Amino acid sequence: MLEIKKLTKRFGDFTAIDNISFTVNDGEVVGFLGPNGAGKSTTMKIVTGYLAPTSGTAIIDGKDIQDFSDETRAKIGYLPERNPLYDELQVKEYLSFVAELRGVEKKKRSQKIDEMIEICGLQKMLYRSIGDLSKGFRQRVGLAQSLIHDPDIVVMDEPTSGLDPNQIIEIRELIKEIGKTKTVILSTHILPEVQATCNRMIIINEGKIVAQGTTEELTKADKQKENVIVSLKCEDKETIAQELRHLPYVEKVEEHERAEQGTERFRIVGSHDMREDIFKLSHKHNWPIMEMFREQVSLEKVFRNLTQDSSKEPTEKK
Amino acid sequence: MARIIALIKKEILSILNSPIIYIVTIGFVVVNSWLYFENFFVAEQATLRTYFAFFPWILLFLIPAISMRVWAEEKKSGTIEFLLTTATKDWEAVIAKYLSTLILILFILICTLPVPLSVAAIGNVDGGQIVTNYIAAFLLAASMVAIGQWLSSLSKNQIVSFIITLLVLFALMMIGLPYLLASTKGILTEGMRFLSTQTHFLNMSKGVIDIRDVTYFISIIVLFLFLNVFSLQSRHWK
Repeated sequence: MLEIKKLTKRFGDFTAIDNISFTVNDGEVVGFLGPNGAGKSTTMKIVTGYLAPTSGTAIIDGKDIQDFSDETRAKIGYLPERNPLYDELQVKEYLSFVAELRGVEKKKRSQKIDEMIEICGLQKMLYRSIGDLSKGFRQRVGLAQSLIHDPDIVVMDEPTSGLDPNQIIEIRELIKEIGKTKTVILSTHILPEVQATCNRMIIINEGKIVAQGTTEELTKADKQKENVIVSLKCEDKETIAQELRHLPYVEKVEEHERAEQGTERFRIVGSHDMREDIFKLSHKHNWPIMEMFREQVSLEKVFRNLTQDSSKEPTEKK
Repeated sequence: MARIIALIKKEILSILNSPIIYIVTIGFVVVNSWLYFENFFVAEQATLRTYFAFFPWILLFLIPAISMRVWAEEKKSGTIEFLLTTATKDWEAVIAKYLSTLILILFILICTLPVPLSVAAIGNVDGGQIVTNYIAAFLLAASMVAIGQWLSSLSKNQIVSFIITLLVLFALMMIGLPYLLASTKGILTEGMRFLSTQTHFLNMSKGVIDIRDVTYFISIIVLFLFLNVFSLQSRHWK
């Protein structure tokens, strides 16, 4: 378990992170989101022991990272930003070196290295110089490096940056797999990535946490209201609207843009899930339903709202 | 200790995988032998004094070329962040890197052995003097490496670190030159004489191992390795 407690880091006059606190539980994958320069990397550098905080601290499995730096560092696997590797080494040389440096027992070392090669799909690259690898393979070597000593906590700073879409999907699958057994915290500014891999996200802007929660919690536009968009095939717009208004829980029915030819589209706001009633109504009048879905505010929109206007109050704080 | 050994193994592997070590070794041996043999047949003397006299001047270029990459490269590529977030302590990393470079220097010095050995074979050469000269050369190189390694930790740029190291090492040699000492007075002269690497190297190369010269070199090494650890740790409060 990783607990961040009132962490602050200043570089001269500049406050990179400002009194942030959060917890990541065992077996959780948490996405750390924010625009560039929000303080994501700085937070990770502190958690991994590369930089000391100005004030506050982080606790890893009950141990303070400042008092027990060596011990806590040993429990963390870290994939730094830009995935730095020793380019002049071959893949296998590098993994052996990391295993040895990380204190993997001599007996288990070769088994562990083989395991990482298997998991990260590096079989064909063992005797290539790291400097000659493609970005996708480099990233896998970085992942292998961060996992080889079986850490409890894995910290990944933008693990998919610079990869092509296929590679991104592969790496995400890998992260999900890792997340089943370990505590994972990854930073990114790619929103679909968080939705695809994380149980929970923390959005940070200008050094402060502006929101945290699951994707669902963050994207529900208004917690009390249900928004349903429905398209019905029917000539008479007014009749449908009228009928819809009479359904239970419905508070507002408004025409919605971009209707297909011959269909009418409505946005229905109510206090409860109304989809069943809408179905029954359309069935009764024989209006075929062309589409129907609950409207969600996209994560992109939430992110923009939270990070563009910093004077705004946080929408969701747990 | 296990971590230091792992790091030394990796450093040596890195060095062997890159061309710089071969260029530097060949350069050292070729330049040194050429400078020596240029006069050897003219002088018709089986003396090694001039051979060892060239060492500091060649080391002056060789050491910065080796030490420039030690930290600058790690900083530039970001691998320093990986290295120092493993359980490796800052001083362990400093020591491991230093020892790896020393092993390299030792290897280069061994490559220069054929010359004195062949001169000894054809003439009457004092074996003890060869040994003390090699000890002097090694101590001189070791202290130059400590300085270069520290300077490398101050910059991300290898070229900058090369030039600064070259200038600092050059200054440390120059302040011990007789004509410079002659133009100064009193305590300044003594200070310059004492601080110069050249003074102590020349003392030892006469064939006498004086504890003061050895202490000088070891103090330089300890001081600059300590400064190196300090400059790594400064990342926490910068």
